[in-house]
Amino acid sequence: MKYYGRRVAFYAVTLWAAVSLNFFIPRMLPGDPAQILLGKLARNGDVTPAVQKNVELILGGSHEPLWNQYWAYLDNIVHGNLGISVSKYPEPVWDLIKDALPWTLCLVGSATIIAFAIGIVGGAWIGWKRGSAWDHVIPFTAFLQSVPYFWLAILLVYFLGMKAGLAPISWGWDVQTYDHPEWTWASMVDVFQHAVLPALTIILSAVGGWLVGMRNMMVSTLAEDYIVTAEAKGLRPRRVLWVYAVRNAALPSFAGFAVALAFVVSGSLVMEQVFSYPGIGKLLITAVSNADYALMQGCSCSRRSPCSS
Amino acid sequence: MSATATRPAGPLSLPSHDAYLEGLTPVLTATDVSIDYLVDPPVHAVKNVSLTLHRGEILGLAGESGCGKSTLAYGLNRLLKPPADLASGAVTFHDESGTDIDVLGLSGERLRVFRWDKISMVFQGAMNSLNPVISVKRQLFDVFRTHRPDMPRKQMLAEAQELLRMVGVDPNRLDSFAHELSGGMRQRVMIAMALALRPQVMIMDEPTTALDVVVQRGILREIMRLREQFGFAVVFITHDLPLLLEISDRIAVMLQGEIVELNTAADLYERPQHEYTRRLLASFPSLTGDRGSFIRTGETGGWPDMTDTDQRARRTGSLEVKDLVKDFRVRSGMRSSKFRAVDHVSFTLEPGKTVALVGESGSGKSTVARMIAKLEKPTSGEILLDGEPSASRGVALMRYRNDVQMVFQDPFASLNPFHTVGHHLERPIKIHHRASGREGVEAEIERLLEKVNLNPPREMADRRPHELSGGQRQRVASARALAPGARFLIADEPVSMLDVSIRLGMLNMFARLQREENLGVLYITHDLATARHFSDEILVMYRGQVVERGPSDRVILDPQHEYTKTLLAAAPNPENHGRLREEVRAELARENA
Repeated sequence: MKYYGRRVAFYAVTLWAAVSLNFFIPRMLPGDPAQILLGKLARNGDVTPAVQKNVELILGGSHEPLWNQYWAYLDNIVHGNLGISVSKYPEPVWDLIKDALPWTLCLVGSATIIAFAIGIVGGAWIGWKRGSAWDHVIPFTAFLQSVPYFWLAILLVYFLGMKAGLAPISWGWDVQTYDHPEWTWASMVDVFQHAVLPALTIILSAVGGWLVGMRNMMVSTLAEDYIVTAEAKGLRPRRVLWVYAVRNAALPSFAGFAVALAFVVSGSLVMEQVFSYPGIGKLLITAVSNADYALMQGCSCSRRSPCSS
Repeated sequence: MSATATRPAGPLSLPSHDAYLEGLTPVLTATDVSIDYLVDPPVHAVKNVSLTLHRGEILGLAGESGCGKSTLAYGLNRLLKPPADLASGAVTFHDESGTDIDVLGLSGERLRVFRWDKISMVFQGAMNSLNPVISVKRQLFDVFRTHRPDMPRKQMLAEAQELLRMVGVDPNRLDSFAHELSGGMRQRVMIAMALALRPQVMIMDEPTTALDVVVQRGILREIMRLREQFGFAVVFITHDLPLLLEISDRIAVMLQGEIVELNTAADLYERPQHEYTRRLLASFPSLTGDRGSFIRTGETGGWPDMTDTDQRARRTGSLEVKDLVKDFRVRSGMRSSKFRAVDHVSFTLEPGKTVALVGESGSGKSTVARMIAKLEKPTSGEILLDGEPSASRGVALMRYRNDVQMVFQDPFASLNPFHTVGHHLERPIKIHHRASGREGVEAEIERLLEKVNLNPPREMADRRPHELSGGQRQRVASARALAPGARFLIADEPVSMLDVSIRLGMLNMFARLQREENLGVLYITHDLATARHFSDEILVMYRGQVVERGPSDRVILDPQHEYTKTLLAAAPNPENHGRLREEVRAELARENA
């Protein structure tokens, strides 16, 4: 009981710290949306106090002490009220996140799982056949991993999307045909096609790490006594590979996989920007460039909560 | 074809050996086997070895690390991996059915089916030869499934249970995983697995080396019993010659890839022919023979000139350990409980004396050493240096460490591979202000290296640990311990990881240092024989307590406590060669009658 109590307390403190950072960090950023708009208006003539008051009310500029704002913010969070977006006025932040989050989770989540699976199976195979030509795959994937993320994405857009025309290059669905993705076969195929390039970006840049880690673990596992024993036992090579070598060699990778899953939501920022993918990363960029505090806080909460758990 | 045929001359054709061979049928013949490691430059690990294993015989393969004994064994079962390469020779398996199998001609599926069915193996790593992620049962079933695909599951289970029962493990343990079993149990499970298909040959590569003597004795007895029951032949590989003498019918001694002597165990002991065999036999001090007869044999140069030690000889003082207790917290799941590793241990170290702390692994002897070296904090009790309570921090601790230093078990792990030998010695000299100025420090380094017989000292000081052998490293570690001007040396199993032929030399060096420097030495070991020869007093530890203490000869020759007696009975003794076999045979005869 004491153990669980300690864990729960730990998570509570972590959550509080994350939520508090979400509040304070945006307020330390330069630029206040109300001031920006008032400055623009002032260029066109006088700003009456009534206009100023209205602008401040709408854009959330507040003369309340920071402390009171903080309490009000905590109170709202507890009640699930994340506020109203300024940049997409008057959408509630919660609704915007609700629309964006599934896109990110499905795309990045499945891409991460695919990259992991390819890495484990491929790494196991390369490790098993160590010293063969397969070993040359490793430096190549390591190179792909070291290529900047956005650059890889742009290359894919240019060559596979524009030159070869293999897949659509932006948005999560065909916005000219459908208002919203529908539960029809054609629409689902369409959504899948739109996910191909972003997913490929993530897989290409992530698979190298899994591959190299798994391959090296395989090589050191294959030197273990129980592998020699299994071979001396006359077991079939397939069984030695999967039950004796891979099951042991994959353990560290699985630990790493759990960490990688936590970063699914936060890892999508650049990719979603390049592909204009309607996910949470793009929403955050919109929020930051428009100094939309409420939306920023909302996005950061949803991005950070999986990391802290 | 037997070994005698290929080598008509020399020790292999002793009359008694020929007499032994009469009436035996061969089961495995190796002819002119050569194995190379294809590295640059190539290493010839096994050179033209011919060997015949007979049905039901235990053939010992003795030699030091690197002599090629394991490589040869792996070659017999075609388990060599690149860069190892079986360059030439032939291995023939003479099956019960009368057909001869050319082992080197097997490949692919035919080789896979041959393995374990005809020749099974037990490896050294009792700890590591079981797959940690699947249960014992599944690993046993794996053997049946691949080799006996028609066997129904029920019968597999019955067979598996019977196998465990045979090796003295509770059949309920089938569902256990490797980490849930003790070292001895794991090795028993491995033997059960090796027996599963009733092979005609078992190759055992150091099967008991990682185990405590009492457990080792149990396992050996089990192997002997099963051999009597099932009649399989055993190739038993170990560096421990006394152990081989006790259990084998014949022994082959390997040196640098060649078999230099092959004879029956009794003859090898009574009339060793080869110089190396004699040296190997002399490396194991006797438990019961003359005390001190082994000192002086290994170290080059004999006893040193003692004239410059007058001033050190006047050293007095003592290191006293009083009622030392150490509790560890053991966490199992969510609960934590206390485990008493050391239970009220007291003794006194004096300059010029060696005290041996003897016990099995887990008896708490290393914890005592670590507490004295201030690497671990005692739960209660005192460590008094010259009658004063010793400090645990600050300048006073530094002064304590001036006087008390430790030599660790593993010479490979106790030196930082990045630094030269000189650097390892320079640090303590500077930290403890033993010399000043560059020349002073260098002279001191040279003096220390000469002291531990690392010659030429100047050249040695520039080397890095990977350029040194295990023995040389342990000499550096000893020099490092002496560097602060220590009066008391805590040596925790200082030779257990070294090759047998250099162990005595190493211990002789400690004995010499102890005399020259008038050191008080705490010698921690599991080896009763060397404890007897190299110490004045022996303390026997068992489960954290000192159960017996006294002058070394008295403890070894006239043990009082039950545990000491058990330990002594379990220790391999070359004088008892063949006794274990007779005991087991008598036991089985009694059971059958």
